[in-house]
Amino acid sequence: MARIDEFKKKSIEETVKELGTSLETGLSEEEAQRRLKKWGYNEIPEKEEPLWHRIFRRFWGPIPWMIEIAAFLSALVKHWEDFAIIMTLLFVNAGVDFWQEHKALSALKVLKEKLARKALVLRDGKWKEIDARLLVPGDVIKLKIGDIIPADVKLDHGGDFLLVDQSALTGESLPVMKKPGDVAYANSIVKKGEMVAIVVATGLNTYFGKTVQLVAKAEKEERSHFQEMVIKVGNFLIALTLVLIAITIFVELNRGKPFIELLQFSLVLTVAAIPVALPAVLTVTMAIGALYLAKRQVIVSRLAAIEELAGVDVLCSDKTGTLTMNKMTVSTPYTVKGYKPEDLMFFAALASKEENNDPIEIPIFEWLKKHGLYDKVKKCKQEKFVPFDPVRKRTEAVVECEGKKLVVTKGAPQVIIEMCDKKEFDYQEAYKKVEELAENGFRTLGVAYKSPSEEKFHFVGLIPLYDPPRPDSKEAVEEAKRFGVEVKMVTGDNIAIARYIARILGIGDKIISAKELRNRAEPKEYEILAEIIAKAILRVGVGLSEEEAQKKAKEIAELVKKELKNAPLPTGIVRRHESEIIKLIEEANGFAEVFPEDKYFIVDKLQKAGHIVGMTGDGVNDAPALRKADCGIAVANATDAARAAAALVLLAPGLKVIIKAFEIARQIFGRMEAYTIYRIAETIRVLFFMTLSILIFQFYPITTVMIILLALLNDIPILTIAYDRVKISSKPVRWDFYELNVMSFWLGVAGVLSSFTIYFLLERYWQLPQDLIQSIIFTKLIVAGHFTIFNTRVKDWFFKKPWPSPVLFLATQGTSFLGTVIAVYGFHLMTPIGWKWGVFIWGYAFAWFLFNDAVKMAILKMYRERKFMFAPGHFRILKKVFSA
Amino acid sequence: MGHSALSPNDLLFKLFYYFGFLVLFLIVVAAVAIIMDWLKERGESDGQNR
Repeated sequence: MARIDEFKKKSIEETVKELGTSLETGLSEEEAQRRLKKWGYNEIPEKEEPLWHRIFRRFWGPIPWMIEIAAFLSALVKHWEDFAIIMTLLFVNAGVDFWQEHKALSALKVLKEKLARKALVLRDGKWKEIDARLLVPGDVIKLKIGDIIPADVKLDHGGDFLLVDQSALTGESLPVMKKPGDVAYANSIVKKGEMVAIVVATGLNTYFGKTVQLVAKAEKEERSHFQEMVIKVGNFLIALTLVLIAITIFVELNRGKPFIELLQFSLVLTVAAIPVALPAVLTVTMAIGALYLAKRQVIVSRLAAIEELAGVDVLCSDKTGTLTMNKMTVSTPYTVKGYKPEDLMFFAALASKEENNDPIEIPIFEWLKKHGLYDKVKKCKQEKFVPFDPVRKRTEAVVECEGKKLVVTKGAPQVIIEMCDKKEFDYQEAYKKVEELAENGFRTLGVAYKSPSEEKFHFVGLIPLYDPPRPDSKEAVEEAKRFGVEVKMVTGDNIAIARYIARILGIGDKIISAKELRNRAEPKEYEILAEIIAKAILRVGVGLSEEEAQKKAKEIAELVKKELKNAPLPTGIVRRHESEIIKLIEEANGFAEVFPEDKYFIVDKLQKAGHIVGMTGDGVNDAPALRKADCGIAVANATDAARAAAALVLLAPGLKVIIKAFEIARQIFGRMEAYTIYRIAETIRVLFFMTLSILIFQFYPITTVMIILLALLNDIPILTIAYDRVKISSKPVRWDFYELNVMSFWLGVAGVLSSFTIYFLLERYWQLPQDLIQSIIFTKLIVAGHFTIFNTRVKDWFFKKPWPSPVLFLATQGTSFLGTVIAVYGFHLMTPIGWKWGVFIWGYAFAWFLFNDAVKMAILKMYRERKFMFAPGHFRILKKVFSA
Repeated sequence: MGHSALSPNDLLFKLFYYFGFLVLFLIVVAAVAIIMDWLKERGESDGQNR
């Protein structure tokens, strides 16, 4: 039984007494610390894998087994040099893998810390915000709309009710009404209301904790679509490797090759050929990218979200707070003859109450402070103040300024104008101005004053107020356009305001009302038709009177309406209807008068049109839309519920951070793509060259030791891929596995071709001894292999910017050079080739590198122009296979 | 040293051999250019951040 159950029937007084707390002052900090020691952190502890297990895991599994068996076999046949170097490979592989995992785990930890939930708690009589994990039983906390309840609580006071969504815990689909004295469970979401509550149980003692304990949940980081696909490609390559090596073993055994040596060679070749590190490299690339994003105040809730970020082509952005400042500001005031803007603002301030912090009044005082008139207002004394109410639509104050009494008022301009002496000013012009300002989306205040004895007010002028765009919004919108992301504005405000802001920001002025969308979404014409037909049948067939028929027909139409919602209509009709809405949404630059539910509708329709949609939100009701969007974005200061539903959590306001996040995600994507193409091409190169040489020419192009050295020297540049500089794609990135595999395939084929060419030159043309040929080919495989990274890292000629990062360039060329030095001097590992051959290989490998770059450019051209392998309808089977 | 003596003296070998020297030289130049470019870009982004 969860601890909360004990408190269900207890009164608030009993709960307070039992938990030794106070509703007025909360717990003291010392007491909270003491309880924290006793009860532990308010979190579900994750089972952390012990270090020894993390290390041991590197030596356990199919790949380590292969290396270990190869080492064992080397020892068995007393090839001690092979044994030593195979063991080195084993440890280096383990080390690299451990490092990669460590990097990814550290990144995830940082992200988790940044996403830590907060709670408003009463300690030592003061309300303060603390990490929710520091809550203890007895703490008094405040719950408000959008909060995820941080612990099991007993509700107390501060509101009449709390509407709580506990569907994730109990499966109840509708929110539950909770009143003071009720209990609420940790991890349920406050949908409405505000209340103070006492924490009863934390961490594993909560209802949620108990449930989690029952299901030993192994939390696994979700894999992105891309990772899944890459793993599929990897598995295919593993299968291919195993088949080719099995054939080689079979053929070579028949040729009389000693079994143990053959097995040892085959195992090592398998390890070197298959892309073992591929998934880990991708995870680390994303993790490092996520950390980079975190530094820019953008937190990805899961690494896989980066892929979706990179692909967003439509961003539905909130207006208030994201595109605009979320702060009312005074625009150019309008005054009637005889008054200056200073007078207007002065009277407006007199008709306001500063301590109320009314968002409409704040800008008036700010304006006065900016213009040095604040002191003048302070010299006046407000004797009476009548606040704004929706009926009067204005405020009124009686003030005394320098011994003179005045009655000042401000409010809805029409109301104010009507209260004034219209003979004193051109009221028609004033009305025209009011209309003009309303059309441009301004909220306008009229201001007037009179002496207490006067009957009518004297009209002073109009104050236009608006929420101005953020200074960087326009630039961000332009940048988004440049990167192929269309920004659509979403706002709850009216069309005029939306259109005005959209126009200023260059979003476009085609703004539609969400009401329009809602109406179009319902097939109204069918309902009307149903009503007409029903009425006709009832009158003619059943013989009802006009009135009765009308009444019944309405009921039938209601039924039809319900049926239309549930029963599937002929697809053509629905599609035609839906396509109209989709077109409307696609063509719109923004949506006004939007409710959170409409956001879901908009996302859904855009997705149906094939867009990858980003959607911003902050409220609890935005959560479904954020979850539905390919990339839900919780803006700065969003509620817990929105943050939990979003893929991206912003810690800083504005559109610019979102656009920056898209760019960075595309960079990360570029790195992953470059590495994947390189690794698949390398597998093809090594595997096909080795097995074909053995099978056809009965020649082992490189020895076991050389294969291991090759694998070792390949490991080092891998670590630097995540730091490469890559070009930001000007379009949203989506995976085209066919393109990726075609590219890898041809680069692989070119590599095999270059290896066979040098083999023929060395063996037939220059007729060198076999041991020397092996050493030269080893050098070629290292140098040419590492050059391939520079083919794949840019989708342009290799010398075009962005140039590689120094760390990638130096690691790649450094390991190539190290491999060359090993081959030049031999070091008892191979026959030394000397510097002449060493330099020759660099020339040879670079010549082929240039050829490979031309191959790459040809494939990219084919891809762009949809020709040859990319022509529609051609290579259908290959397309199926290569598209994984 | 090693099999250097076995290196041929024909045109094909010489072509790649001398080209190899050029490549090594270009790699050193490229390394310098890449580092300079990287430092320049880092400086610019630091400036923006500041």
